[in-house]
Amino acid sequence: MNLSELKSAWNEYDDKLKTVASINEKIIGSMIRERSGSRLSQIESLYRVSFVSNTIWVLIIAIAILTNPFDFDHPVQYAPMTLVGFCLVIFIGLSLKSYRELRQVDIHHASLDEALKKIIPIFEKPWKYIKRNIILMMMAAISFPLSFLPRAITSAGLWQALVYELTPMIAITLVIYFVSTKMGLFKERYAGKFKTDLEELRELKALSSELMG
Amino acid sequence: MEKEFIRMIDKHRGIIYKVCNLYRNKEEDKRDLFQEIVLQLWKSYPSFRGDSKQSTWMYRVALNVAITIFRNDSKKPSKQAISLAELEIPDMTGLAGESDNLIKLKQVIEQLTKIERAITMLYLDEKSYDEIGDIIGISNSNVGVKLNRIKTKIKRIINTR
Repeated sequence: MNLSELKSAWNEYDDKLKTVASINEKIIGSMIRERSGSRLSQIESLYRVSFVSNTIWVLIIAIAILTNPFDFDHPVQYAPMTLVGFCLVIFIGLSLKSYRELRQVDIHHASLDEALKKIIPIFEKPWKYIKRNIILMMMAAISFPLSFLPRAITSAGLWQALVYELTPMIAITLVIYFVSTKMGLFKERYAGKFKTDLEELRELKALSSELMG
Repeated sequence: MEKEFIRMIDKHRGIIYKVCNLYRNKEEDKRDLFQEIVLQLWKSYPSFRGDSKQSTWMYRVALNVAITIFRNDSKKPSKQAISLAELEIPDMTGLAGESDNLIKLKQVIEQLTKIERAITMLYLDEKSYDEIGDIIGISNSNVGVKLNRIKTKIKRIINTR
């Protein structure tokens, strides 16, 4: 088989496609109306859901700080909770920014090269902030039991506070973390997703450099 | 406007079928891609001013959707719409009376990268270097260079069979 034979095979394929029945008007019409099923709509709604859930968490944290349900005495005790809230606000900001930028990519008029050049930074730019933010948030969440330490020290002394107050909380945190990891919650929902995003970013970069070369 | 749009899609349905077949293997994935391409075309149809040919515009949108924004097969919608299940996307090798050459062509295309597939498809559809450059976003000379590389690669693939 040579190139001209490939070309005639392609023409044969083209001719056969022309003989395939017309696309049903009803199918196209309902496709247009059933927008919610599309991949892009799914990505957009994912952003919206994460925006709403993160905002709810920020509000819960803000209410907790304002109403002090844990009877904290010292501003330092609010630090882990405030840090978690701060990280969530950063997540909200980053997802809003990416959402807006993704919506602005004009794939309808842009060439393939232009589209790649616009989409790559949307994936790439927030990545370093996301990584830092995850580490910060995990540190804040793990240090949350420390917020209860000052009160325990006042009432029971340092060592007893560490043994009776702090140890159970740390143990519970570790058990929850261990069980979640074993159940694959982090792996499937977060690590897996980030890994896929990174792979996609790598693929996009490879496509873009292929066009340059 | 919807009727006009549907007429246009039907007239150039071959472009969408080809892109779906070049970039997806599973029937379900092809339907997903088909739907996304149609939706993106519909979204931008009001702003299509006819600066370029309808077919050029359709190639551009279809390839951008297939390559840049609709990459991961695993991220598919949880369920397909009923109307989508009725859609039949004719496969390259699934058409009645397909020749050996068509099967070989598909095998060759499968060994090309995504960008190479796009350029090959446009070349086989006898698009000019100008049009290929416009759709892909590279210069005419770059189109020539890439096409020569692709032809060499295809010859190598054919010869190793």
